[in-house]
Amino acid sequence: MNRIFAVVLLSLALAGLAVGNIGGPNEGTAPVAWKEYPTVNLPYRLRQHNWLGNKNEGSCVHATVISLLNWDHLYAKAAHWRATYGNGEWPEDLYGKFEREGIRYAETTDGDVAFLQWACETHRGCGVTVMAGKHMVALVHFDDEWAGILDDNYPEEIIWVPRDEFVAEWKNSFGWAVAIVGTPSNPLPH
Amino acid sequence: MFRFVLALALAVASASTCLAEPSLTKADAAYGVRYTEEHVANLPQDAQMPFLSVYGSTSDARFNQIVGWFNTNPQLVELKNHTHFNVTTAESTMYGRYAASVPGLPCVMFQTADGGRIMPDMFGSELPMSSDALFHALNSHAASNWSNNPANPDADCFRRRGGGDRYAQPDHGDPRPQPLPAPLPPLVEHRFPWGLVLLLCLIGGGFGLSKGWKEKFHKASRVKKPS
Repeated sequence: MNRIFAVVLLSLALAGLAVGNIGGPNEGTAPVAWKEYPTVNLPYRLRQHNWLGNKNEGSCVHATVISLLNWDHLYAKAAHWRATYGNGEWPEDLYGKFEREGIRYAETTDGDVAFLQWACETHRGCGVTVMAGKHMVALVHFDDEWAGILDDNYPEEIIWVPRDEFVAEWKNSFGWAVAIVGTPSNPLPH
Repeated sequence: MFRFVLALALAVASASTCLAEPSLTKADAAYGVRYTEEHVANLPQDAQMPFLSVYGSTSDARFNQIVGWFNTNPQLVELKNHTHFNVTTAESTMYGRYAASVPGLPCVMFQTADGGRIMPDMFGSELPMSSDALFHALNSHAASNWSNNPANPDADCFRRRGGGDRYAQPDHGDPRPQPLPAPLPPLVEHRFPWGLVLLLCLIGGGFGLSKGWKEKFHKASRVKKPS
């Protein structure tokens, strides 16, 4: 009887060892990701790469605008924009183009962080200046800890920057942000 | 001197024009009179607005019919105006993003602001045969699952449409974003393997029993016959 009891106990011990190895790398404690990363998760083929305009200037502002138009399903407008505009851009000139093309937009030029919050919470994203105002990229994610950047010079991957670091960089770059006020694409279903 | 005064006067005039209050309309020689409606000053507070999406192929008459309903049926038009409404064709690059999540075409999908499904997707033969039926299907789920969200300014839209008193609290949980730059690994279900434990117990117990039985039997078989 003692022998039977010992064998059963050994079996349970073996089962316990097996249990410890089941559950995956985080043993089932990882929280489910409710939100998509990044919020504005534009497919790669719809991300516009930067290009040199006819004045031999980078067209980062326009590349960012095109990506944001694609996110709002405005493919025809995006293609037209690509064919029509290029080179560097000032805020007022860009707004004039938006108004000419009938594109609704919102903007800030005083480093209002609430604007960035709004743009990403409403799934729209926005163009933001970096590098002391010399370059524009798309802010595609903005939460309590991280900022997700779609750089039109390197559209292959999203660049993640700590939020505070990004905000400091943006404010040092004139704090200009511009968003297309359209209908954003829906998140991945779950 | 006169030229200087004239130049100064012109400068003052143009400066006062620049500093003047912007009018609601502006004249553009190339494009005629335009209203500056494009510049949105009051940011739309639609972070909680649900997403209503229609997927299908442009060559599919049923898909085109459903898209048409959202332009012609007054109730569907108003419902559409209170959602982020997207039409994604199967031929588009954007469809590749959703293809794995769409059960069949054409498909109508209704999601919360964070992507959760408000109702099961309607697709293929499950799609209602009339625009009114489609509206009632969408509206009943919207009213019962979402209208109590105080952050949603459009909640009243659905409440007015008689969703009844079944205002269940939306199950949004607390989807706090995780502070990681990369997507999280999928949740691995962690269940205690009772079946495995039972099997091991049976094997161990069976082994022990057979050992004990054998010994007993063997021992018994060795008992000498009394001579």
